[in-house]
Amino acid sequence: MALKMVKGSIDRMFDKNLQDLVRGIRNHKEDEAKYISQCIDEIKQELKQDNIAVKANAVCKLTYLQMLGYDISWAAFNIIEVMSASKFTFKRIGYLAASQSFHEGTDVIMLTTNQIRKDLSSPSQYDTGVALTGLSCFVTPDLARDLANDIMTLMSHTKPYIRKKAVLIMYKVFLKYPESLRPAFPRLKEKLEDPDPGVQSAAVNVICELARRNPKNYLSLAPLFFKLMTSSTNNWVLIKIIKLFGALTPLEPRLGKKLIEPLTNLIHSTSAMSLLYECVNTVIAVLISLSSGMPNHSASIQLCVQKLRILIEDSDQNLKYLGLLAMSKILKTHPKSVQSHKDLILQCLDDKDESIRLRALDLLYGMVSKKNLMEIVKKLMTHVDKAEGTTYRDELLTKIIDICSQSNYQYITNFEWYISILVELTRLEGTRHGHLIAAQMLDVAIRVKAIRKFAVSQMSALLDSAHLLASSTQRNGICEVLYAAAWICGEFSEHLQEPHHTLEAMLRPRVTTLPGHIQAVYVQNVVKLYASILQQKEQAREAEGAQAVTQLMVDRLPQFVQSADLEVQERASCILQLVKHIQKLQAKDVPVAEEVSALFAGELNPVAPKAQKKVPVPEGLDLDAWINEPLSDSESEDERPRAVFHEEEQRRPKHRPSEADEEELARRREARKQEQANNPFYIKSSPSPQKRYQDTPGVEHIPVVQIDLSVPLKVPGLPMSDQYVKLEEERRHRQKLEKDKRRKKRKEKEKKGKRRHSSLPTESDEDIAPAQQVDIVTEEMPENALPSDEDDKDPNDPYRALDIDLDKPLADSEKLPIQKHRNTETSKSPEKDVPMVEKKSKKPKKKKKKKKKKKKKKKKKKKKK
Amino acid sequence: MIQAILVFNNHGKPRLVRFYQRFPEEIQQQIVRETFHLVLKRDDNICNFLEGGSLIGGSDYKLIYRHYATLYFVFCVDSSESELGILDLIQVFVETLDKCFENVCELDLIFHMDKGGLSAAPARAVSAVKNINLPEIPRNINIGDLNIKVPNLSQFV
Repeated sequence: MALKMVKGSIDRMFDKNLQDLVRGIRNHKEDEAKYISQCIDEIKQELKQDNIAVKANAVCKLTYLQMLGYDISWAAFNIIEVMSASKFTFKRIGYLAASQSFHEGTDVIMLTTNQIRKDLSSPSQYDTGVALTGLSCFVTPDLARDLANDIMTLMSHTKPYIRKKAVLIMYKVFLKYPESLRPAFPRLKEKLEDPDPGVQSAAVNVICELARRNPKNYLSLAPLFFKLMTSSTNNWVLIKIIKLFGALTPLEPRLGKKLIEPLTNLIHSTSAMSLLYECVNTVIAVLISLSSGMPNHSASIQLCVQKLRILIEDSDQNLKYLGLLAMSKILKTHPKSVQSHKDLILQCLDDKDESIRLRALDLLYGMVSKKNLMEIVKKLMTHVDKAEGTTYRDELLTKIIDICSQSNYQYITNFEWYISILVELTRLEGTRHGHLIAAQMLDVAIRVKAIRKFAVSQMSALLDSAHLLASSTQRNGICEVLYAAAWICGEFSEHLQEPHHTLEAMLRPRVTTLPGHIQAVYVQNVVKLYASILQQKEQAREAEGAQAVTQLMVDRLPQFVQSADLEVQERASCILQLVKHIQKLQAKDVPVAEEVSALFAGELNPVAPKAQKKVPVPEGLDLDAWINEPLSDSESEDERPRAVFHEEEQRRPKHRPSEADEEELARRREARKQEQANNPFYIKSSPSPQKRYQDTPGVEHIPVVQIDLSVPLKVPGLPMSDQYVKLEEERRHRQKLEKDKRRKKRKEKEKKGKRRHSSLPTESDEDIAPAQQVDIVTEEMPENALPSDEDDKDPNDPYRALDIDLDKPLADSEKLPIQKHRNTETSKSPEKDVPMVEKKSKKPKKKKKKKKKKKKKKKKKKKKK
Repeated sequence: MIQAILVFNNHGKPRLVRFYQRFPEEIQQQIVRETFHLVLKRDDNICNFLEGGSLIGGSDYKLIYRHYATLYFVFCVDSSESELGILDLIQVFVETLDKCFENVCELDLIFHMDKGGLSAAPARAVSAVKNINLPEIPRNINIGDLNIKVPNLSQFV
């Protein structure tokens, strides 16, 4: 026995402590993993020892290894042992390890409940402190429920050190166990007026966090916070309160009105940039909620904009960034105040800092108008050429498309220009947003009927170009544009100048290197083209021409039949059979063009994104009814293993990713369009209302004097969009002249008595009429669709569970569950309201006694008593 | 709310890693690596705010970082925190470490990670460290063999 002890202590001399471990790892840079696994074995040995100091050392090393990425959950029980050490330093190590590695899935976490309770009621404030700190990281719903009452009483502890920590951890308890919010809330409110400023700011913090998620429940606290705001001098607290008011004002406009005065005072008086920025932000939020525009608020807006301009012009990049961020909030409701600073923002676009450029881009999004869209996009295109990284370039591309397509292309006056911009964008290499450009092309071509001819000519040029085919291996690359090009050429083939040439381009052998979904579209649209060519040839009575075309199809389609992609194979073989059949008919001189064209009759319109969901269930259909008879019980019993223990509900909250972003929507739209394109029997529903065309189409009215062509020169390799800018200016100028002439005529006809509200001679945005009108604005929905919109909420969101009304008085059922002692007949067992000092007579609930060591410890403790 | 505090050096080795939301270890390491790559690309004279950390939380979260000598201090926060406030907080944190270790350097953090982890512990989810009402911290904590000399940090109140 004595020998064992000596041997043990010699072994212990060679134990590594944390420093040694770190040093060892640093010295073993090449075989780090091997060295660490060696150390872990040593740690396992150490953990088997009885000595608590040794165990604590081992757990300390484990904490370090956890940081490096090694899983230490196998040591959970040992960590709990260390947590139950009486010495503070060891306890601290235990809690630290627990906070790093415990989570809801740790099975032994329920063993900690009593230990934590003991620590919470310990006479040493540091024990309590370390327990509170550690608990906040691994609190589970069970722990929260069991310990909520203890923590709540600690909120009224004599020492502010403890009170502060207790207040802070209540937030985590609320998240895990929402039923504790109502009972605990009155005490939390009291802490707002605690004499100690640390506790007060802790309470402010917690309430602000809660209120940001569910503002309407905390409106009743607004007067209290107002008082705090005017009396407090601590900047951190002020910032939190002001941010909170920013979240409350949308719900209570009167609050906003009261706030403007003190906030403006703060803005003028404070020297802290952070506080200034938060005040400006909140004033903006207030003004947005009061946007029913009282005239004296324009002074506040001007003040804000002025301060923000100072921020943006500052050389500190952080302030610039924040200024731009706040400006974009003002932009939504007061765009006019921001317009005057457009030059500053365009300047920020040239900044070398990428975050600032992105912010400036966002701002531009809101500052676009019909007048300046073209020049802004031109500037962005120059940036696209200069951009180094592909992510920034992709971002620019997305932004350009966003800016142009917002509100149903509200700001585009000349769609030919837009299409030429899109074509220029296709020259970008290595972009991941090819499908975005493709989606835009399709959208514009479908919705703007007047532009179809131009679009088709551009698309047929794209189909010819070799470099797009070259990048065919990339996913979502620029070759996606060919998808759109093929579809447009096929659908609107009546506008094609040389359909035969396009047909040959689409049937080239290189096409088989494209991705499957693009090839499928090619095959489908080749048939559409073929139909229109047949139509032409038969009308011109060129039988040989018709037969030549058919022969071309028969020659080239087999290359698609051999494709690896199933879709392509299917379509190609179907169509090949059709064409061969037509060939036979043609040999007998039967006119076939009519029937072939009938395959593609009817127009395809865009469908609303939620249309599929909103197809109403037809009457008489019960989706919940069984289709077949349910399996008989005896069979199912045999297959299912008998559940011995109850299945616990999974209460783990899952955070679903945020709503599908722009790309996802575009991809879905594209997939849907593809489905529609494939279905020749798609029935069009009610015709769209807007059918009138602009009376002044751009093409014929352009004077021949300036440039010899009415359509810009198609020089391959040169951007055409600049010429459109000039054309656009001329067109607007002409429009303006015509309008002035008409206005003068109207004024002459007026009687003198009437005074009309005369329109100002200066040109506003609405005066500019677009060259081509967007025809199809509404999207199709299934009949009898309901316009509801309830699919955005995430049922597992923990903050939703905290949406509790706090003003109602507390019901009996809502009091926090209090742990009662097993034997309640002894008079010594205390009333549970103030369990400050634990009675040592009886142990509360029995823990699961897993290992003998735990028993030994308890026996030792009992012996001591 | 502060979601995570990461401290790593110029080569991406983690020196202090505190997540206030549970992630499995591989995800934690992945986050550290990704953050390191994002932050490494940044020049020294551009702004300290980064958006678009896709792994931690969603679009509401920003990364606010500061670069001190060989270490990057990165805080992942959501929109309820004031950005400039967090920058100040990082400053306070570093100065606290400095006073605790007397001219702190990376080696101090490496070898005394248990203590570094503890001074970060107050900076937990509800940004409590802003409530260090510093005159209140006892000057000398003597518990067992532990002797922490707490500096006078009243200038940060």
